[in-house]
Amino acid sequence: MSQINYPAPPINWQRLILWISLLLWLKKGIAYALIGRIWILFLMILLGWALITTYNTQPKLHRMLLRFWGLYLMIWGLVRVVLGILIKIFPISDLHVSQNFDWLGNLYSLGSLVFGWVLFRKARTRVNP
Amino acid sequence: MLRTLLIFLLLVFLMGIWYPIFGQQAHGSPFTQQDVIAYLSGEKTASKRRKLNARTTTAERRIARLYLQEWMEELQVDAQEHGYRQPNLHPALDFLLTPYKGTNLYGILPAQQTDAPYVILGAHYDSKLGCPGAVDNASGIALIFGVLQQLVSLEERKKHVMIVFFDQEEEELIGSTAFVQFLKREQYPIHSVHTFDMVGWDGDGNYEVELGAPSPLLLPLYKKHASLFEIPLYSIPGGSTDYQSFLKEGYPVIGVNEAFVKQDFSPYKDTPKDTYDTVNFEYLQQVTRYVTSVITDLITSEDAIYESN
Repeated sequence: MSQINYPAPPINWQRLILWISLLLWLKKGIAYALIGRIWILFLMILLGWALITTYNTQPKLHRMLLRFWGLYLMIWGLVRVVLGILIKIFPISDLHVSQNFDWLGNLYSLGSLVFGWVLFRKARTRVNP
Repeated sequence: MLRTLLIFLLLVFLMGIWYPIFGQQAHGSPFTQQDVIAYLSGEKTASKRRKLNARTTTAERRIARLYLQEWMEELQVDAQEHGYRQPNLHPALDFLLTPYKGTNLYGILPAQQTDAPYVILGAHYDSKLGCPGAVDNASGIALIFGVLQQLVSLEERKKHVMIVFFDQEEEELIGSTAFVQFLKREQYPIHSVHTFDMVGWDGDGNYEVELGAPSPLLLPLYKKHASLFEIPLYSIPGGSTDYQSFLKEGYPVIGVNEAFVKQDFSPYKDTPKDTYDTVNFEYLQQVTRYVTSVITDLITSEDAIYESN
């Protein structure tokens, strides 16, 4: 008997990117909450809750939230890329800041820029968070 | 082929971690203040351990801690790490940057009574990027070890002595700020905090010492002993080193430094020229004798305990 091979379902890149970006920021939020700064975690929980509740009930608002999150990631990445370039041109003695803009940090900034752009562009269709 | 390459890379990576951590010990006992400054500023290097050109990056600070740990343990003081994470100075920066991450090193020379208060002796061990930091602040660390070498031989101690080497002083006093939080959390009864920052320069040769934000509890004691050692003193209300972190929380503090405000301080501060051969060891030793006398008096006598807020 011959077996039927079903094609693998296509990867939903938008959903994947949304999940990765939300989880990375959730991690950041938890790290800061543990040392007494709860703002990032609070905003992430708020965003996550808003994305889930608006998915079925308010698709327009849901897409707006996605575009906002995409825009935020783009601005965040862009600011860091610009700062990273400036620090390369004008080195600073503050180790904490310069360590944030090492090659891994710059890669992270670029990643955020790309993720933001993808989310912003594709937010015309709904994504189930 | 690929697997062999991966195994080779893994081995190289593991060797990179192993090498600075488990390299040979720095020296034979007993060590001197010159040794402390020489190893911390890269003038000398323990075999199989990387030379310290500065104490700024995570790897450099880890090597510096290993030296400090060895010296503390030679003096029978159990060295403990206090790892911490601290938020950025402004909350808005948290969105852009990761938290500060560092490690203070501390140890306790116990008193006879377990419920005795603690006298803290502290100095920062980090340095600015690319600076060997011989005066700033290997000299402060050498002073503490000089004092500690005398304190361990005391027959009676009525107060615990806590030795702390702060991380990230050069980055907005982050290490000492985290340590204050740790002390409050653990509810240590603190008698007083004495910090030492830059005690290796005396351009005019008058042995003058600057006292930063001295507590009224400590100033008379420091004055009394200064007259015995013929050390000229002057006080300043402010300052920008580790005692500020304790002062903010209301602890009785005193900072001991070279005559910074009177401009008699190392001109090589925060430069790659802050090297071993610029340290005035005569001055350092005289200040060490003076501080040893103060701290010995303090921990062999009984007075009020300061309760932290």
